[in-house]
Amino acid sequence: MADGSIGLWTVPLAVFGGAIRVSTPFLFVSLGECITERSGRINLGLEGTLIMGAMSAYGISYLSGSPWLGVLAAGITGALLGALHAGICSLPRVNDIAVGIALMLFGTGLAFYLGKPLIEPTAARLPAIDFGWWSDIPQVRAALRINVLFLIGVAIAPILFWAFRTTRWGLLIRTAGESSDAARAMGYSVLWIRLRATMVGGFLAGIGGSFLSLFYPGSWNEGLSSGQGITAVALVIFARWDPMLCLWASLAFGGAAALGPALQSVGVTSGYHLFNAAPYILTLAIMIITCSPKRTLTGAPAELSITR
Amino acid sequence: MLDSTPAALHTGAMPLLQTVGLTKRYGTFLANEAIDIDIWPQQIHALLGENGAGKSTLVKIIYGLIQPSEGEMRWQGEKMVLSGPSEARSRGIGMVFQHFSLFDNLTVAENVALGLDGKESFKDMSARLEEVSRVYGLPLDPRREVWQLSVGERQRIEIVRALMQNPKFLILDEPTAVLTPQEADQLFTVLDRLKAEGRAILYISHKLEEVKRLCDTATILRGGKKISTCNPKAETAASLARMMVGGEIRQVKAAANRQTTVPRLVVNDLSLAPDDPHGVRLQHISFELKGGEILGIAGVAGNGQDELFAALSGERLAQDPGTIVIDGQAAGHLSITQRRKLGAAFVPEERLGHGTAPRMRLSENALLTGHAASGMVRRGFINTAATLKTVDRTTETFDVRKAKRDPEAASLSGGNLQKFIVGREILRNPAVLVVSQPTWGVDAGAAAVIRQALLDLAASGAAVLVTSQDLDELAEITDRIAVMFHGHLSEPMATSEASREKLGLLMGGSTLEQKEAAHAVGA
Repeated sequence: MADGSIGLWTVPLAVFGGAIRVSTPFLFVSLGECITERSGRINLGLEGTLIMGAMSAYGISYLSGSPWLGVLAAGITGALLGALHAGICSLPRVNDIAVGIALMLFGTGLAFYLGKPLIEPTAARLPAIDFGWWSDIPQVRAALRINVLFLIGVAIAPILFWAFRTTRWGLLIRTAGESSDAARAMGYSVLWIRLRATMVGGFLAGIGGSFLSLFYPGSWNEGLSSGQGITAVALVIFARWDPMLCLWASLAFGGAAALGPALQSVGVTSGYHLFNAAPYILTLAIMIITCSPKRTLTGAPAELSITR
Repeated sequence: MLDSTPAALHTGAMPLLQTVGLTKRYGTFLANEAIDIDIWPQQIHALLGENGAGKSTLVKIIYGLIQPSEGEMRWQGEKMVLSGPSEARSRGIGMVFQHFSLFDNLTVAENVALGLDGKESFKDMSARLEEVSRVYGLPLDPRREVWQLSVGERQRIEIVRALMQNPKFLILDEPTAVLTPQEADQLFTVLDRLKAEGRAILYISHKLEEVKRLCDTATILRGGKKISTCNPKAETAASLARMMVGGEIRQVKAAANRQTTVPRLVVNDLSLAPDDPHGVRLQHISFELKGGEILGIAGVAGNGQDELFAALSGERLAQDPGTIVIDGQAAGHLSITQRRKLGAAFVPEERLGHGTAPRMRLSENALLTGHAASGMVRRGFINTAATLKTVDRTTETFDVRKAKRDPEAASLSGGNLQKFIVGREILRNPAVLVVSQPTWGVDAGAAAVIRQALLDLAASGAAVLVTSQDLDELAEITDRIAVMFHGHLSEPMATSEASREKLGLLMGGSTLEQKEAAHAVGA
């Protein structure tokens, strides 16, 4: 210990630190998608939103020098993309899944096009809070350098959980997702509710993107998101549309994703690519363990096009 | 009274179908308890009971859809165990369901072919279909698509499909619920003929006069048990009802001092194109409804009642604001919530998925319609205590029975959920109440509560519009009745002058003038 080495403890520590760092975009995208899906609509375009958010955050942070302005810009970009998705879906006979896939490709392409000049320069990055000041061990300090966005995401999950139950807006979103006919008969505009839910969902996903470009990995390039947006959409189903479960699922995913690099750092290199696939193996394993022939997806909003 | 059918009436020495001690258990709940029924050839046997009495469970067992927990069935004296409906059909048991299992975009012949297990060619089958429908006087064009057909014609498809398998025993589940009185008469002729051919018929209905007229034997179920088997012709409608309910049904009566005051709901020349391709176009609908008055709208389902409800409630907006006037305010262009704020209230036909969101709790459902005019939301937060109070008040006033204080809407029985929905609107003291099929699929006790509530609401000065397919219900509670046919609404007439014959003609599309003209020519 005296020489600062902590031996095999590196692995769980790195997984812990990774869980916090890697999980943040998952957390924001899945919470956003949770809101959208609870209102009865699926937005598969969040992968595109995530990358557009990352690009616009990086660009605005670079131009203004303020990373927080970048975060805001990412959120607004996401909300606009959400509005676009909801607007197209409100036309008669338009399938939300098809629109989502189109917007995913559109968002990704547009971000790469607009972000071309941003690959070179360095933008101001988001600060982190150093929770590891008490320790001399560099690995501990590294693991405990936690970004504010992560803390905000962790706070949003219980707030959302609670808001779905106790606020009128939460009730309206759930009603639109449970029975759009009933909502309409009771005098609510389902399209309007879903527009707002998709915009809020896009806002959160955009912020998730800003984390990618402004904190971890903290640069802008075309390989920034390796399908994290689309994985987060799947996480919502996995988390049974419950914001708190979205939080735990994001953490588990983040931890699993950090496993490969962590093992590599202690010298286990043989199965590197296999360990990188750990999040997906984990998903499959949990799906198989929790599946039951007697039960359909509990908690699934009845109006969702995948459950209808 | 028990088993009073004289044995001499039976042509065969043994019943066609016997159930012996038939019992169906769901957990601890007994849906059917030791039911013995004898079905004889050449007889129409009525099965009577309120909702939840166990009629459908029994019929499903007989048709092989579910297996009994105990007891057995004997077919022509021999023990019979059915593996499923196709075995029931192959033995000669046919069934016509209350809710048709037809595909709208397929032709009549294609629909029939789908329901048959036979191996004959489509062409032979179509020819036989035409033959059967001609012989029994059930005219059908095999090439027409189902969505073009009336409800009565759709039912004919189901009956012809059952008859094409030449059944010895035919089960009909509330066949007249969707028919005009004249169409029902035609159906009775067909049933009499089937009976004369030696077939047995099990006839499920809650229309007691009809049962008295048509059936030779009646078995009454209550709470899953057989109460009695009797000769319905020897009973009165009141005595049959007593056996079904197990007590007197509360008599609905109108309050004496019903003042008709100013018009509260006026519809002026309302025309509206349908938004779905199979919908009905509303054509020049006009009527005036005064405070203290109940107007009934009769008609066979699918003649524009749903479209009229949507236009009145604001689910669909009218072109011209002046076509709908609520309490003196033009409202055709207003949203549902704005109309509610003018004092209107609406109860749609579909309880689950329209009147309520099925998987949400009653308190949440109460909030969704009630928030506009009450203190259930404070600064965006739900006031749980206030919503629960609304639930409790509705529960108490309308005797809603439920397992928990605040269950999910879908867990309530149909009658109790209907009481809750109607009650929720009435407790807001609306100036205008528009209600569609207020007692559809509701047991007699709950129906009486709901009808009385509508009468009391009118007595307090509100205007009430009731759409119903139950002519007895309209006769009981309305002051005037109008009939919808193909999107047109007839001139309302006083209920005291609306005979079943007059209403039936209007429901079938002929005008009263035509009828009188025909009389004049005949004379």
